[in-house]
Amino acid sequence: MSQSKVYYMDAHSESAETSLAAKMITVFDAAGLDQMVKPNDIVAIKVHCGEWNNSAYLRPLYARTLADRIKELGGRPFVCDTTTSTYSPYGSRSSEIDILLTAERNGYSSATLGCPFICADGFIGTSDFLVDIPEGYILKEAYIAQAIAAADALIALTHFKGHSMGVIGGALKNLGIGAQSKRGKFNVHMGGHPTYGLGAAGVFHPENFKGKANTPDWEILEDCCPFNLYEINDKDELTWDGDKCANCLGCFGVMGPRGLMDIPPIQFDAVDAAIADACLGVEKVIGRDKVGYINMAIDISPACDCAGHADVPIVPHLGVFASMDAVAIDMACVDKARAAEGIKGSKAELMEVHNVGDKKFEGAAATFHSQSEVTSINTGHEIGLGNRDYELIECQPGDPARFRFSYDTRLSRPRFAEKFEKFKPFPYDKYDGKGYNRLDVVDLDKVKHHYEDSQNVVDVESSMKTDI
Amino acid sequence: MQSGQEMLETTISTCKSISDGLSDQNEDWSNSIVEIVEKFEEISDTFFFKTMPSIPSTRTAMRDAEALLNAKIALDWNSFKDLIDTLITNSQTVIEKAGMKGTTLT
Repeated sequence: MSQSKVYYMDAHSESAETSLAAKMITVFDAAGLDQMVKPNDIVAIKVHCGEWNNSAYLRPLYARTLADRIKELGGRPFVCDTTTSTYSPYGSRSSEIDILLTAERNGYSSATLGCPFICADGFIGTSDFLVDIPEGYILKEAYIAQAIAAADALIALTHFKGHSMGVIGGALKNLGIGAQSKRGKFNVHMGGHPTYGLGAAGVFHPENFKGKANTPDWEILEDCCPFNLYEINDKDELTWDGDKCANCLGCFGVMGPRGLMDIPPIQFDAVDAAIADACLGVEKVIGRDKVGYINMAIDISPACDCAGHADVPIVPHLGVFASMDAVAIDMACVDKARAAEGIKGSKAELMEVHNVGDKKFEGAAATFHSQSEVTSINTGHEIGLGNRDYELIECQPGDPARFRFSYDTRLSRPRFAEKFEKFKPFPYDKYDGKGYNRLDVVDLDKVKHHYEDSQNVVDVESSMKTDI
Repeated sequence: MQSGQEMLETTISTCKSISDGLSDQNEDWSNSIVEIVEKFEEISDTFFFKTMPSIPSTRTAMRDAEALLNAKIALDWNSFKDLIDTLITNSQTVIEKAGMKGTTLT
C-alpha cells in the first residue's frame, strides 16, 4: 500500500495568512478536500461542540471559516454533532434539546456559523442509518447518524486531543463515535457484547455496598443507569442486571470509585478497535472519496472535549493537518505529539511522559495502564480504512489577500474618511488640536521599573543603628 | 512505565525492609510502617490501582519509601525522622484516593 498524504502547517502565526483559520483552509485545499464539494452538495461538517464547562473544544471560528469556504465552492454546509451516550449522570448533550443548548452556550449556532447547527441523530439519538461493515475488525454493522448519512460529503473537523477511553481523540474517534447515533455508540462501546461488554467483562462487587443507611448518596447508584438496571432491593442489597447492560458508561464514574464495579480494561481496548470499524461505516455510507479530515492539533488537553472541564494542555499546539485518510492523519498527529516536549506543569509532566519520544497520550490521557494510543490507528490500517504510513507534506501560507476581512475589502480611507469627517472620532477642536487633556511629559521609567528586582533596598533599622 | 499496582507492591516490599528491626530504634516508627504495610495490602489489587490516576500518588509514596530505606541503611536517623512523616502523609493520600476515606494513619 502506498503512503497516504497528510498536509500540514505548524501552529506558529504572525500574519493573516498564517492564522490558524487561514492555515486550516490552506491545508483543506492542498489536500484536495475542496474537490469533494460540488455545487448544491449538502456538506456535513462534523465537530465536537464541547461538553458543558469544557473550554478546550474548537472555537466556532474554525467551523464558520470552513462553512464559508464550502459555500464559496457552491456547497450547502451544515455543522453538526450527535447526542451522547449517558456517560455521566449529569451529561449535557444526551438529547437534541440538551446538545443544542450546550452548543449554543459554547458558541455553536446558525448565527455564528452562517449555516445551520444540527443534532445529526435526532431528539433521543435513534435517527440513524444502518450500514453493514463485513470488513470490520469487531463490528459488522454500524448505525450512522441520519443527517450525516444523508449528506453528499462530510468533513470531519476534529479537535485533536487525548481521551480517557480512546486514548487519543482524533479523526477516527470524531466519526467512529461522534458520527454514530446513540444506539450506534452503544454498539461501539460494546453494549451487550458477550466478551467485551461491561455485562460480560465487568466484575460487580455488591458486597462493597454498605446499605442505604451507610450510603448517604445511595440514590445515585440506581439513578446513574437510564436502563434501570441497578436496584437496591428490599433486603438492602445492590443488584445489577448486567445481561442487559448497554454500556452507556453512566455507571463507570459512580460504581468504579466506590469499589462496586471493576471496569474491564479489555472493554476499552475493544472500543478503541471498534472506533475504526465504525469510522469505516461512515465512509461506506457517504462514499470513500466523499469524506475528508481536518485535525486541529491545538489546545491538546489530556481529556476529551466530552469532559466538563479542560486541563492544562500536555504538549504545545502541534499544527493543522488535512488528509483524505483518517488513519494517516491521526498517526501524523500522534507522531508530532511524541516528537514534542511536554508542557511543564501539565499532566504529561505529572505522569512523567513529558520527554521527547514519550507516548504522551498513553501516559497522560488513558484510563488504564494497558491502553495503547495506536489501537484505533492500527485497526483502521488492518481493515483497509486507511494507512498508518504517510507522507507529511508541509504547505506554504496562502495569499494574504484571501484571508482578510471579507465583507469590505476597501482600504481605510475609502471606508472611513467620510464617516470620520462627519462623526469626528478624534477631537481636533480641543486643546490646541492635541485633542485631549493630558500631561506633556511624565516619568515612564518609574512605572517600567521592576521593584521586586531592586538590589539597593536600604535596611532602615540597621542603617540607623550604624549611624548611632 | 510501572502500573500503579506494581508501584504499590514495590512500596509494600520496601516498607517491609524498613520495618525489619526498626523497633530496636523506635517503637512508634516501627508501628507506623507496619500500619502502612497493612493498609496497603488491604487496598492492593483494587480497581484504583489498575487505573492511570493511581500512578502519581502511588509513585510518590514509592519514592518516599525508597528514600526512607536509604536513610535507614545509612543510619541517618535525623533524616529518617522527617522522611517517615512525609511517607505517612503521602501514604494517607494514596489510601484516600483508593477510596478508603476516613482511614487515618498514625
